[in-house]
Amino acid sequence: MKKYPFNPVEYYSCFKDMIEALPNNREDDPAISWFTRKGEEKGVTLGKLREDVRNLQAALVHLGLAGKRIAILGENSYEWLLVYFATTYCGATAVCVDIEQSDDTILQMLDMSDVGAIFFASAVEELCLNLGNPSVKLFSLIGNIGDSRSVLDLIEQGEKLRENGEDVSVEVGADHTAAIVFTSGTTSYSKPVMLSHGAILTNASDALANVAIGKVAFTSLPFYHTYGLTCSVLSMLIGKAHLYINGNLKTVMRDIQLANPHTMLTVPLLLETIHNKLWANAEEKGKTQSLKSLFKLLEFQNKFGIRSGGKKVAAIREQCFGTIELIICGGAHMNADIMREFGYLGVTVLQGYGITECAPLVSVNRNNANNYDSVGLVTPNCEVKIEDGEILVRGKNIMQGYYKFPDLTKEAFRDGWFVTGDMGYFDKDGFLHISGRKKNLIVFKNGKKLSPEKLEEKIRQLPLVKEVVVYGAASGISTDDVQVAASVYPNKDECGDMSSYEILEALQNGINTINKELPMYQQIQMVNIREQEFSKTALQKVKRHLI
Amino acid sequence: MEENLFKFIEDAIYKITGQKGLVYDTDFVKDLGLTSFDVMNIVCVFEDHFDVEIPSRDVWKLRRVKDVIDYMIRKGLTDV
Repeated sequence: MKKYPFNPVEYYSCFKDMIEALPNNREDDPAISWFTRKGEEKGVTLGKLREDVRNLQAALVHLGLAGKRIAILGENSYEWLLVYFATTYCGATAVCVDIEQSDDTILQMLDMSDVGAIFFASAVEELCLNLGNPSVKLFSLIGNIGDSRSVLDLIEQGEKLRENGEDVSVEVGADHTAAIVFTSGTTSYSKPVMLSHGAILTNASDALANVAIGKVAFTSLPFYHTYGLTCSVLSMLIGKAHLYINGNLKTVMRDIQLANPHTMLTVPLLLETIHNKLWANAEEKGKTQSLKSLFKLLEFQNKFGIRSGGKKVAAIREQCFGTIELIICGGAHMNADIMREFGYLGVTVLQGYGITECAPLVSVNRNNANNYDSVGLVTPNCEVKIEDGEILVRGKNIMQGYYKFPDLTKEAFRDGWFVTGDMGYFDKDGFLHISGRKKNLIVFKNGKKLSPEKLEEKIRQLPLVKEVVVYGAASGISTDDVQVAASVYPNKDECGDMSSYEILEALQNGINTINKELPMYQQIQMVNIREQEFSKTALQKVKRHLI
Repeated sequence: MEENLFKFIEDAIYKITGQKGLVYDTDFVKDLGLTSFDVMNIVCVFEDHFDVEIPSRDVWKLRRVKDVIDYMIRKGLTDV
């Protein structure tokens, strides 16, 4: 296969350098835009973004937060990004937290990462205001909540500090820890992954070396996740795109129409929803057969390298995707047939592969070298080798370790290579393929992951449970594809004379209580009882593959 | 009041998903097979009707029809 050279791209060693360099000669160009709930467009230029970051970082330094860990708890917003940029700019570490987790999990994450300050959104107001830890400074992301000062207040304070000539400069290098991001693992808690400035920014530029993006981009990926932050925010900014942000499933489809983007970054769930709607519309209008025939014709034309520009194809594309021509998809496995169909309509879907510990991108398909069955070609600053079928990675993008978990960090590496826990292989053209998973993660179509051990620990606390295994059961009724299921071997002593029905009912009640504290995608949808204990290895570990 | 709220929820779900025949215990994901997108679209109907914003974090706690009714009563969203 023809080898295409990497695209030329700028590399930055730290966030301060990136923020300072981005607006050069482009101060008035739009940087980040978004739509309000009522659909009104708001946005900032590159010059304004840099000025806001400079002011906010000045306030953080003045407050003694340089070098500390600062948590961000909120939905996607411009303010979220400002806090992240100002935090990294002043040598502090941004602790990125998913607020859809349960209160207990969020508190555990804050506790694990020794935060000195928290920027929070109104959705977690109660949790944050009742922390009861006077050493943690509290600020609100948007508007004033309680007595907390907001990002806007701090920007104003920072502006005055700079006008008064206060020294707010801090030296930061590529090896400083820029962020702590949590990842599901084979432990019962989420692991805090430390990523350096160099790792994140190299990875953001590497993504552009593989993929050529358009001038206007759209993302609704969560910023607390590395895919959302590195690939959909940083790569787009470094790639000089005007970025539209959205963090609310309720308005995603509306905002895509309003933003008119060329490039979109997303997860399989959204693409499958668009695909389902396409076929549901055809069925409603009695045109299923004609759509099937159209795709057959397009497939045939495609074999001979003919790209159809017919009005019918353009109308379908416009209806499904608006102006989008390029979609980058990651987070979970994407169906190759759907990508092919979208390709026939003139929309290129590039699938990639990443893992939080790799900041996250390891490989991604390229505009001119796209193999739908693969997760693409390895990025320039990353090396991949396959050992006993398992994918190992090393390079500038790899994490510094798990914060305060040296043993877990040691376990994660083999001779300097990060062990991903994913199985895969290279084809003869150098494309990486994922063939399975060695670890027990359940992966959802929205890109989120769940460690079964986390739920098993909670379920095991129910009195009737002796052994439990949680797994992802294939589901035909939902586009999310897998549902969380629990298989329970009851504790016979506790059950006494209870019938199977009574045991199941009691278990269901206990699980309903557990579900109340979980985000929707993690909730246990199915429970079944086993007559026999689970098969185990010599080390008494349950043989999960037999479930 | 609960009956009115039930009817409102039933109409909203029908409008978005075409599904009928709910009972108080109907689970949106387990029984109706709704995706997170469907759920969010239903929430939009509520937000538009009451002119409020329901945080995503609250949405994921509303698993069954009766959870939604309890939530609406708690938040004073009863004028349907």
